[in-house]
Order: sequence, then C-alpha cells, then structure tokens
Amino acid sequence: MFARRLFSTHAALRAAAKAAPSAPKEAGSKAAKAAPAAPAAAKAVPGEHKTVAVGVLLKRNPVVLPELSEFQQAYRAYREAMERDEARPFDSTFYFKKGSVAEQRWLAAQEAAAALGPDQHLVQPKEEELLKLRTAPRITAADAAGDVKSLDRALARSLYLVVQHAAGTQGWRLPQGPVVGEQLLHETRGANACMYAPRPPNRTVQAASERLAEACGSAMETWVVGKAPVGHAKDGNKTVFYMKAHIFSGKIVPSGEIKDHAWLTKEELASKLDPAYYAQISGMLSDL
Amino acid sequence: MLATKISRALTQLRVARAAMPAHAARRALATDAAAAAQAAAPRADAQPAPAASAAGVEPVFRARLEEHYYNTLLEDIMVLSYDHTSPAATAEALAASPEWNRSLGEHPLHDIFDVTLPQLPTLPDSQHMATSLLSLENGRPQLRKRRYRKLLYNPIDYTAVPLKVLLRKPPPPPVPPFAPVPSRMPLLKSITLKVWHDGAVTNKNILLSAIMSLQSISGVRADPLFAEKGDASKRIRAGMPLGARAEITGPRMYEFLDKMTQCVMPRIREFKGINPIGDGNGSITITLPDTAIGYFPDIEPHFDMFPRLFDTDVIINTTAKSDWETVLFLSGFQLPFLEERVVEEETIKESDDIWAKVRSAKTREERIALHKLAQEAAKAKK
Repeated sequence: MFARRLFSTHAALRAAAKAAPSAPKEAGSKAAKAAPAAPAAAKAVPGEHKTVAVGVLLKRNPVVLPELSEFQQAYRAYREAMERDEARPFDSTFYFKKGSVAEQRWLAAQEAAAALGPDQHLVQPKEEELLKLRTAPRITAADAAGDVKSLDRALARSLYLVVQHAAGTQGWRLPQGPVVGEQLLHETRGANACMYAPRPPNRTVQAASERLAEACGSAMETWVVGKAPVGHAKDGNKTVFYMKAHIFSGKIVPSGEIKDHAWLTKEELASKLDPAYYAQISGMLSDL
Repeated sequence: MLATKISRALTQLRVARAAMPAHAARRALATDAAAAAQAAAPRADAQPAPAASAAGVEPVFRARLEEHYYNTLLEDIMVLSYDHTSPAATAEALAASPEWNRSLGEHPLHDIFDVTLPQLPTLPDSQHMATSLLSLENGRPQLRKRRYRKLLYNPIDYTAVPLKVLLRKPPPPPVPPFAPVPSRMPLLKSITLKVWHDGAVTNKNILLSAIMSLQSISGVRADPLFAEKGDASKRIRAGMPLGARAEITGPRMYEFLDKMTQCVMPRIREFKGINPIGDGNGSITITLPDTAIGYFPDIEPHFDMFPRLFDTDVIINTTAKSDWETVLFLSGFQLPFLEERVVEEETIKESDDIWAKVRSAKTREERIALHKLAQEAAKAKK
C-alpha cells in the first residue's frame, strides 16, 4: 500500500515538473534534470510556486510494542517451552562461586519457584532496587481523558498531526504550505545518510521543515525522511506533495497560521477528515 | 476461553512431540497445523482477537528491534533509498511482479499455507525462526552450496592450470536495481561473533574463557576455530585451536544488537563511531575491545568467573547490496557510524634490515648512499 502511494506520487511529481516549465527544483536532482530547461528570463520571482505545494506527514512512532493476540501469545509460549525443553541444562556452578551469597540467593529463588508447582523454568532473583521499580502504564492519563493534543496518547499506535489552517475553510488537513522561491521539498544532508542522525548546525532548511516551523513553532525535534515525497493530494489547482517526518520530542506552539491541531491514529483520521481527502492520503498512513 | 483451550492443546502437543522421533513429529505438526487453521478460521462476524494480557498470562520474549524493523524502519528505508529512475521501479515492471500483486488472504494463516513446508520459518527445526509473517516476503530458498572439485590440470592436454586461474573467485553478481518492495529492502541475516588469539598456542585453557564469553553474550553454543596455515615464527601448526566463533540468527540476533547498542557501545572509552566500510556485499565487521565485552549484561554481574576476555569481531551479515545500504539500514538500529569513511593509508613498514633498504633502493645514488651507511653500521657493530 505504502509502496504504491510512493510510486504514484513520483508519477505525479514528474507530471507537475512537466506542467510548470519555470518551476524551481523539485525533490531529487534527477527529477529536476527531467524537467524541461527553464530559460533565465522565465525564472519566477521569489514567490509561491503555482502548481506545487508541500505538506508534512508528521508521525509519532509507537512508543511501546503492540499487544499480542491470544493466538500469538500461545504460539510464542509454545515455542519458548519447546526451546526450554530441548536446551542444554543451565550450568549454575560456572556463574556462581561455591558457597557465595549470590549462589545462595539463586538456589533459594529456584526452590521458591519449584514450590509453586511442577514444570517451572529458571527464575532470576531480582535485586531490591528492581523490585521497587514500577513500570509506567500502557494506558496513560491522556488516553483516559481523550486528550487529542497530547503525544502521550495511544502509545502502541502511530499518531499523525492534523491541523485546521486559519486561512481558508478547508477543515482538518495535514499541515501544508506553499513552496517559496527556489526551495527544494527536502532537507539537504551529508554524504553518509544515517537515519535519525543529529543534524549539523547550519543545515539548509527547505520547504517542508520551514512550513512546519512557521505553522507549529520550533519547539519540536523532528527529522524529515529523505528526499522523496510519500504521497500527494489535489488542492484546487495545486498538488500538495507530502514529506514524511518523525517527531521525537517537543510540543506544538501554534502560531496564528493554525486554528487547532490534533494527534490522531489512522482510524480516528478516517472519521475526522473529509472522506475524499482521506481517500487521497490514507495510503501514506501506517496501520500500526 | 480460547487462550486456555489453545494452551492446553499445545501442552498436550508438546508432551506428545517429546515422545516422538523427530521425523514423525514434523509430520504430526503439519497435520495439526492444518486442523488448527480450520478450527481457528474466523466467521464473517468475528470480533478482533482478544488481547493476551487480558488472560493474565506470563510474558513471552519479544525482540523489540525485530518488531521495530517491520513496523517502522522498513517504510523509512524504502523512502530513503527510493530511486525513481530504476527500471524495476516502473509501473510495468512492478505490475508484472507477484510481490506487488500479492493479495492478502482472508485469514492471516493463508500466508503460512502459501509457502512450501521447507521454506516455512515457523517450522520447529527451521534455521530461520521468524516472529513476523512479513518475513516470508524475504524468505528465499537457501541454495545448497555445491562442492565442485577444482580443475587442477587442463583435461585436453594435461598442462597445469596457472595459480591465478585456480584461485580466481567468480565475479560478484550485479547489484539488482532498486524496487519499492520488501524483498529488495535490507534485512538482517545473521551475526557472527569471532575471537582469535595467537596466545592460545601456549595456553589452551584461555580458549575456554573465550568460548564461555561467546556463549554468554550470544546464547548459542560456540565452536572452536582452528588455524588453517602454520606459522613457525609464532609456533603455530595447522589445525591448532586458536579461536572461537558463534553464529546467531532470528530474535537472538536482534536482542544481541539491542544489548550492544544500549549497554556496551555507550560505555566504550574513546569511541567515536563505527567506520562505515563493509565488504561491499552487505556485511560489516565491528571489533569490540576486550573491555567492552565485560559490559554485556550477561557477563558484567559474573565478571570474575571469566579469567580472560578477548577482542571480539562482530560480523553483521545483511541482505543489503552495497556499503551505503548496509550503513543506512544499521543506523536505523541506533548503531553509531562516523560521518566520513576512514581509509587506512598503506604505509611501507620500515624494516630494521639496512641491507634490505639497500636492495630496494630506487636510484643508483640512493643505493650508493645507503650502501655506505650500511657498511658504517656493520663496522660500528664490530
């Protein structure tokens, strides 16, 4: 699904490049080479591009692993039990010095486990500090309250940012904005493209990150994935090309450009967005 | 409850399997899987499967990096490596490939039954145990290595085959063009841990420590490695055990990678990053110093039980087709790479032998000068 969306977006990008001969560079230098050569006189003055706009698919990745279904749980428990049955017996005499305190704690823990019932596997005696440790709950306060502005909601799912732009009467959409001047859609990077790498201090900020910063403030740590847009949608006579970005930390500081914002899962987006618009962007969204 | 029914059935199966010889057990498993699928086939109005935690069952091991790869990383890698100029990324090429046109079956188990039994990663004796059905996309039939005898002489005229021709390796296969399908995306194949210590010539017992440390950090049995060639200066004879290796695949491999990046690498002293140079074919080697091995959570609590720890080579094998792809893929697991490649310049080793320098002198003048120096050194020695 995602690959098909990526593919059709590139077809749209090539079409948009051909339609606008005086276009500034689109994503990817090779696409720019494919576009007809623009004579110097026809170069647009710094201003909005007429046919191409940029949007941002800002995604918060899942924070915890998803729940296993009963069948998956039973299957994995079965495989683990088989592995335990067929594994070599654990040699505790190698790991503990004879008569040491650690060995006594270990043997006491195994005896306690054996007292619970037959077919018990090895038990790790937990230190006092670890016993006091309380893990955070999977269902947070934001889940209970249904706070859609919070990033701590739905930890096992991906959350996407949708906004209501102040200008225009379009309702809820993914954040978007014009491509200004000679900007590219993507951010430029060094030679060795590593994922999630810290950005150099004087990086070239291009259309996607700029529009996002203008609309939602600079209090977020985001990373735009690569040079290729992951989807496109029609907006009047413009085509909006969406760049995928991850948010790692921070919050939205809404500027005057957006009236309202929300972090929603794929299903919630299906109910919140206009059906025609959702049909255009649903291929970009992750099921999890 | 479904959970208790399944667990009871599987416990009985386990007990029965333990009593059976291996081949009969495999056949029984296949028929039981078919029966289970029929029993588990969902009705039209079926609710989504209830969560396991509702039943209050014991937690099972989950390799979080494996799930992260299939849930998040795979998409990002596809976007980062997307090449729209690739011939395999055209609409016609994709429409012709079965992977692009793969239709999701009504039931998740349909995916399992589309795959032949030997390829099934969920088979108990299979090497490649997967916990995600998406890995079937990457399941390729493992070609058995055919053993060919080397042609030591030309069969027609019985002349000797030159050594260069004899030792020539076949050219590497061409890199397949980019295609936006999961089977073309890089996947972790295996990790090999290797220890080699020439000092084991004098003391074989230190190898036991090496083997135990590899077994502790990998979780699998480690095997000794033997010297291929002798070296008289180091008193090595061919066939001497001087090292150890362990190979891990599947969830254990992802767990090892997790331990290495979270527990070990942040604590290595004066560590700037991994050099992003591999073998060009999807493998990259990281050498962990002996101090780093002591930071593994499997070794640190029992540090005293290991008499000696060694520099260990961690060889990560992936299905990536180039160094760039390997580095991109592994950086997604938070492996820290250097920004620039560090290429060692070939430095000509200065040997102590003055007469060797004389012999290798390039010009006549240089040779005469060095010869004089050598003679003076010989006189001074006397």
